[in-house]
Amino acid sequence: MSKPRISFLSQNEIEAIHNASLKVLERTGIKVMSEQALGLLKKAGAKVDYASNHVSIPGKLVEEALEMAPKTMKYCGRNPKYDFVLNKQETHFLATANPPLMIDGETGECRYSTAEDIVQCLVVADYLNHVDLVWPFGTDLNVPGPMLHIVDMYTALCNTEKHFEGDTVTAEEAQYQLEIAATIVGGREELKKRPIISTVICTISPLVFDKGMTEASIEYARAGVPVVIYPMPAAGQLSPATLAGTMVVNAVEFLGGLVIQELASSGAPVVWAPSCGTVNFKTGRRKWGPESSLMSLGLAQLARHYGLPTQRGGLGSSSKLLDAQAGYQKAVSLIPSLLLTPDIAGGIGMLGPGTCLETMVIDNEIIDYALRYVEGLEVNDDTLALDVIDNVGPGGHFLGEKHTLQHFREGWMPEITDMETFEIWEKKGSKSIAQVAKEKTKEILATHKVVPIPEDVQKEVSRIMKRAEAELL
Amino acid sequence: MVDLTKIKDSVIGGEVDDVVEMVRKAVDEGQSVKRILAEGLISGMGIVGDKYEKGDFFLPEMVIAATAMKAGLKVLSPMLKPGDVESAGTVVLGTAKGDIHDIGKSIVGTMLEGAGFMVTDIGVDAGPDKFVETAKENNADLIGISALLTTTMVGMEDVIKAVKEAGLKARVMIGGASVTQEFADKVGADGYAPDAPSAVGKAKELVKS
Ligand code: B12
Repeated sequence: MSKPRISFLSQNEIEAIHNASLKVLERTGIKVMSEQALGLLKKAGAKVDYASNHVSIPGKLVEEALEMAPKTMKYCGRNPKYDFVLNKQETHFLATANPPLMIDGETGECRYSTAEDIVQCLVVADYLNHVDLVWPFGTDLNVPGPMLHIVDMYTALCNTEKHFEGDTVTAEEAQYQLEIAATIVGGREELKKRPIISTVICTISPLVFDKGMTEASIEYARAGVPVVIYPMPAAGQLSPATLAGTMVVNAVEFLGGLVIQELASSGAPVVWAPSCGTVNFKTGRRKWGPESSLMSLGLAQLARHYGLPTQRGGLGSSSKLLDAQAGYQKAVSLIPSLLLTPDIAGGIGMLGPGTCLETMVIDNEIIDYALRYVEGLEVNDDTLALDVIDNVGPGGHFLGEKHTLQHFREGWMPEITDMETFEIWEKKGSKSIAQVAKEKTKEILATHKVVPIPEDVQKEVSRIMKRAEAELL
Repeated sequence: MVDLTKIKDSVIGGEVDDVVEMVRKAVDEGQSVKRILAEGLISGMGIVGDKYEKGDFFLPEMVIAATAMKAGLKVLSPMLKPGDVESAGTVVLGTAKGDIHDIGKSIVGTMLEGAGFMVTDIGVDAGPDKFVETAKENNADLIGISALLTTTMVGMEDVIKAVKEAGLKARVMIGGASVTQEFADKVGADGYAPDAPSAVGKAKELVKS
């Protein structure tokens, strides 16, 4: 199979970014707000100043961390049929959504999400064939702050059998999340073997590591559960205005985080999500644009050079509606992203300001198309089909050929995309894709049943939730 | 004699060193501190604000001009008497407890400065006490709270309560990506704005009322 792939940075350029990153880690250093992490770094030989939280990390520590970090890892679901391996061969899709707002795909109404919205999104995600893992879809404003990330996980694990990648901003949250997941899979050792959860840890560009998030990541590392390190510099705002400089800041933060993870527990599973933004300098908001894809793709090449798994944006959009803009932005960003086979690509369910249930169905279809595209095509005697061409000769057609019968089903078939004539489309109700998607989600919600957590386990988990409430509120 | 319009132009151009040098020189020459501030620094920042509104200036230009303005102000501050500063109002601005998102807050701060407000930025992860104390110290007209996380948005209500309990005159304005007017009403904020330019409008309105 010949697959369309790109790698646009030369080996020299990749090494230049790597070397620049090592230089920044040692010369400029990073600021780590956690004493626990500073202790680990100091013990390993980094230059630590406790008073200012400043750390200078020698290249040797980075090289060692790169050695220790696993090159492949398992991501599991509550149901083992949803397990997969991050091994740089295939892309798995993440419903990233965009809490806390919810957008109605048909009417465009935008409002805070409710507990019910979150469950609905999870059920649809559980159903869709291209969703492999999920993020929190929304926020129920009735959930008190200290419980939110724990409730996010609990709700997700109850309402889908697929992997959940959550947020964790304190060590306490991490401990409860890990305990809940361990209870569901059958213990800590089992969770290490079959991590049904992972967490996203953001660094604070430029070059700062928050106390809570860092200590949460250490808990995950010690549990052997994957951590996604997610630096989010933005060119000219949280990193240099130049793309290469922004990539360096991203790589420095990733490598700094990786060192902490591997020092906390050698062999800790780490994924790099090299998100790089560009900025609308009028408003200061991030803008959706081609440079972000370029930077992230470049860093994906660096990740390849390290042999480490990546998670990247896939179906990005800044649109407020489920409209043409949403469609072209998602498609235009997804395809190049897949050309470097990220292990995980996100964006399913997200629009600019919030989560949109209906877009999940459309995103699933865009992915279906894109996956077929990156699968490529095969050139061999059978596919060159010389005998068939000779048999039909000039003129005529191939519809009746046995060779056609053997191969015609290989072609991509849309599920919801309209490709009919005008008359047929009209006869079917002249529906927009948003209407079609809405009907599809209604149908899924009416028919799809998620297998619940067994009752005894559920009871045990509820007890943990009660304990968390008593301690954290 | 240092020409005060030169100070103004250097603020507009974001020439930090030039501003500091000229302000020092003007002070040494015995020029009126109040005039250096009004005709040099504040009027320069005012023009920067206008240029931004017209679309000629972008954030980096705003930020560097504000830096220059503040550097000049620092030279003047030991000499300023109450009443010398004729500002649009005094604001205490910060990001709610548990939240480290600061880009939006800082932009709002810069824009308020551009519109002639005196802003004290208390940074991120700020609890009710910090807001109340700083507002007292600065005799603030307005408190601005930013929160981007649903987990920290809720904490804004505690600040609002604390401000009321302390009997401060300051009005409270809130904002941040996840905050809406509906939420602002629910927690009893005096005002909300979805972006920095409208935050300036809202601030003017709240300070007057
Ligand atoms: C950049 C970013 C980060 C950066 C922050 C860098 C920094 N120095 O600030 C980093 C990477 C560190 C980060 C971390 C996290 N983030 Co974040 N982050 C964002 C992102 C993408 C953009 C925010 C931003 O800078 N916007 C640009 C500015 C200009 O816009 P703005 O903040 O809205 O401000 C404007 C207005 O709102 C208004 N305004 C702002 N403040 C004020 C104040 C007043 C008084 C007024 C009147 C107006 C006003 O004026 C501003 C200018 O126009 C948002 C997504 C989003 N949609 O906003 C997520 C987002 C806020 N983050 C989110 C999350 C979950 C996190 C993490 C928990 C992730 C993790 N697992 O680690 C951590 C939390 C860390 C913590 N304890 O706070 C979620 C929150 C969801 C929720 N339900 O709460 C969001 C919404 C993304 C998402 N949908 O998932 N994040």
